[in-house]
Amino acid sequence: MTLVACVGVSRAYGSGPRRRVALDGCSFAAERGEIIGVVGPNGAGKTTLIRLLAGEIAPTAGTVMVAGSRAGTQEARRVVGLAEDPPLAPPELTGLEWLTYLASHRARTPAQRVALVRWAIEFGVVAEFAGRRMADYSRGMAQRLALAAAGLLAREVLLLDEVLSGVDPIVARTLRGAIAAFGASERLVVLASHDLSTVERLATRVLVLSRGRVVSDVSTSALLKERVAELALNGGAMGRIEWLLTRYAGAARTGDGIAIPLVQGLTLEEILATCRSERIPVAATRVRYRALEDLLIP
Amino acid sequence: MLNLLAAKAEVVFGLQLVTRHRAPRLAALLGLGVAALAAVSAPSPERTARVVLLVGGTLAAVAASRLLSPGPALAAARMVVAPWWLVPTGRLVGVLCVVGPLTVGVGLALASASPQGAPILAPTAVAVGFAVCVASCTMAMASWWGASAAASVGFLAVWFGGVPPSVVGALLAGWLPLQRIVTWLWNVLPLPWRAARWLASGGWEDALLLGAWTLLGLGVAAMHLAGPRRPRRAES
Repeated sequence: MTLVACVGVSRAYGSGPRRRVALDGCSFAAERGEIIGVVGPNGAGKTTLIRLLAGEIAPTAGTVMVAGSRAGTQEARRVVGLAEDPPLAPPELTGLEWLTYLASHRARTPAQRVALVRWAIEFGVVAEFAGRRMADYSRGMAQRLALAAAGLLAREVLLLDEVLSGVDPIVARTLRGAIAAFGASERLVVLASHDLSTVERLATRVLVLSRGRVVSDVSTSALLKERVAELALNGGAMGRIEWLLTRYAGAARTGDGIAIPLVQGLTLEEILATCRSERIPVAATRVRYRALEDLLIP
Repeated sequence: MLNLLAAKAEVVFGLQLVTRHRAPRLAALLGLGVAALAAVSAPSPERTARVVLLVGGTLAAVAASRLLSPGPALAAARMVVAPWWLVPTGRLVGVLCVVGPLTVGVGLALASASPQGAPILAPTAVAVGFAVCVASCTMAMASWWGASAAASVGFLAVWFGGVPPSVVGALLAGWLPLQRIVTWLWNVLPLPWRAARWLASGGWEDALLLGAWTLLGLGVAAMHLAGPRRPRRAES
């Protein structure tokens, strides 16, 4: 069942000569049980997309639907939880007070509220500092609390914007497990991040944004099954890279040579044979599985 | 259906925002200082009423400016899903939990210090009603202009608004267009002179105007929370 649907969504900031288009004709749909990774360079429109889904900003064109309602309406906001970096939470309060405040708006009975707060504390791994004022939190602590708060509010859709970037590796591992379990429980997680390894590990599907457009929408498992041949070229052969780039679709430059996707039956032997016939000296070769980085770096 | 847990949470949240910030604490200190000075000067019943209005209004203006200020307070209001009136009303009640007892306490202290035996009930009741009105309007302003600007406007209005419109008109006698505008504003805005007149005359006209401003403030604050709009970052 579709939980989130964007159809021709655009969002611009400013007006006149200062108008800047952050998202341009973005369309995609996401189902229950998915974890969608949103990646792209700075200014690609990742945060704008997350804020549109949360209903914090309205699109300038197109429609954003969340759980069957237009994003930003009470019905849509009721099912969405957003954690962003840097988190917005009152520094005067303790983490526990903040979670209790949020849980009070979701719970119907005091017992339900206590259960929600306990779940959130466990979800965000915040037990050790929940009693301290948020003004004293480090960046990682604040992000963990933001994740706990978002998980508490998210009945169906959890939106995460760079939420693991300041968290230490040990806790990050636990949090990745919690996010994966959240997605697996017939709910949806949308995770925007520059941390490609986290997205690779968590996401079931990846949207690649570039200059406000969705340039790639691929299943992570299918992507990571694909293989890439990396060829290190001698200095004199670097001038022939352009020829290789036009010869092989999807090929990309690397630091010392070229990376060629092994798709449609193409093999490393065939590539080496072509190089021999074209008198392109190859210094070294390596075959590896494809990574998200290959999608991001053209 | 009203979620009582959510209503209570908003009251407690309002209370926490107010009691844990330095600005309302400084305002309380100022108010208590003014009250102490008034108490040692054997105040008349009129002066007692003026000081109680001043203390209640000042506290309300400064405290309520924190309730929906851009940043975490406003973001929190937009994170939760609640009936449109619940967040501003709940937080306003939270402010009253601080301002009410302090105003009543100042009223009691001044009445006991007054040699003529000033009345207690009416001045404190009017001061609390006036404080609710000031708090509601400041809260609404803060969501648009920010906490510092709203608190400053509320503070100045409470401190200088005790002057009756006739005196303001006489002061601006040489500048006719300005005199008309300022006198009209002085008559329309919820200023302390109106609360003082309400206390003196007991008429319903002043109470109705203050009530209308209270409802307007709540409505504007609720309107600001509705619709997609990104909360700005906090002021320092």
